[in-house]
Amino acid sequence: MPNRALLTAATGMRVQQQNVDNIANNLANASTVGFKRTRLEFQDLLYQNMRTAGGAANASSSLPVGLQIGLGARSVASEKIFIQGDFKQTENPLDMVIEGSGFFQVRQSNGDLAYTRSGQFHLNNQGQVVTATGESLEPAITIPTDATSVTIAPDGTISTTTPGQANSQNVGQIQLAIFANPAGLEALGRNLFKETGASGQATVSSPDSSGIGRIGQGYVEGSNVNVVEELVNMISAQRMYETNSKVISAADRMLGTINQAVS
Amino acid sequence: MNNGLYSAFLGMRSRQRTLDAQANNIANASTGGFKAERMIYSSFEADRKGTNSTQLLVTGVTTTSSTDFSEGAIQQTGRSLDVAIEGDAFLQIQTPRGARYTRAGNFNLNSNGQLVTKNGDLVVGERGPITVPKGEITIGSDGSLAAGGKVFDKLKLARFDNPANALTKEGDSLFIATGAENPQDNVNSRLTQGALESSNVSSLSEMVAMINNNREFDSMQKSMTLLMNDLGRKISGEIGKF
Repeated sequence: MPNRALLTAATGMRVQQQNVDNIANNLANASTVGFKRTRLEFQDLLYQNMRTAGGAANASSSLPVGLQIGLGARSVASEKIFIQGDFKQTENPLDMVIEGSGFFQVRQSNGDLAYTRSGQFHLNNQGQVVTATGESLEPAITIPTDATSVTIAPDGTISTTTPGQANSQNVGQIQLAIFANPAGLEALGRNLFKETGASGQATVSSPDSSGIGRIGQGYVEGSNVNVVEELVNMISAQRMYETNSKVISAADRMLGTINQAVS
Repeated sequence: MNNGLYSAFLGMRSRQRTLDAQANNIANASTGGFKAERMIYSSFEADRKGTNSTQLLVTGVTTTSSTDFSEGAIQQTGRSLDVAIEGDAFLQIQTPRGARYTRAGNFNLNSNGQLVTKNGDLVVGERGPITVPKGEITIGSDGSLAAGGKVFDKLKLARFDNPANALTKEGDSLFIATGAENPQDNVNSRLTQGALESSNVSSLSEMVAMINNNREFDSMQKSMTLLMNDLGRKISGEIGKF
């Protein structure tokens, strides 16, 4: 039935539309610190088996090929690509990058933990280290109001110097989380990720220990979106959308021809 | 049954099925590891042995489908759990329904640290399902898996002499063995980490084939109309005699 071709082409158009939606989000976040691009992944749908390959053709031989007609495509996963973005030097003492696969832990206003790669931290009115949207770093770290400098060591130890004191004071240590399957994390927006059943439980340890990453002070991690690559993908998605729509007109013409034949 | 009409009908039906297959190919032009479906036309003649030779001979066309296993373009992704196969091998997957094969190497880890497909089915290594230890994962060109520089397993690769005969599609980027041939050990396929195989559908050739297919359908419709007009004239001629 040309009807089948119509429906199949519609699945193809939907897939390409979702593809463009995803590319638009990646491009919109090409300057978002700590942003990880998403890749949409597709699979073929079910097949209608009209003649099965390997079935008996007669008593002594079997069919070498069958007749299988597929019913289109679907988007199956939006894979977060956790490749590191470029590090940019900012000299801001509360900007941090993780040289490794770990995540910063932050406490949301509802009390739940969230995870982020975006290391642009600030101080709130109580001197607590928070993100730009106010989630506090976990474990909570408070910088004394009279501190003149803040130093963050590669192992996450934060120390401050205050006027009149010769030695710097240790005010806390950052803890990082890693996951068995970071791609299974759920993006919450605001550069935050949430633990899910697919990601596995967070393993928390101090930075600079095996595999979890070191902290670099005075840098931010840029978005890992490659604009040229996204543009190429967008052109190809647009063309594929067009090709699928051509299938719809071809199927429509066939149906029209059939109607003419019986008129 | 008028033989010419029936032949024209079979021809039209085969072109419709071809359009269905083309629609599926085009819809899957962005599906990683997808293999295009080709329609094969074969003529048939009804066996006249033992029948009265004055009987009408039924001829026509039937359609079968065959998967085109040519390789798709390899695209660099840089992701450590992406793997592309250069050569004719397949990666083996373990599903609750039994063993399956795939060319789509976009794997993930599940919450137990096992290597899985996008549907959560386990990827099979030399010693069954693969549990990945912590550390930077590298995949060698022979499929050997290493974490932190230590080899812990090897991806199981299978190949078939005639995959078009030995495999059919199941959907979800998986192939199922028909039993026509036993899976054999990989001979000279190589794996590339950080890359994926694209669909082998060429939208240009699909478009050209689709236009051609539509024109063929039109011609058959024309012959059907001519035959029907002819038949109508004959009938009214016969009725006119009464």
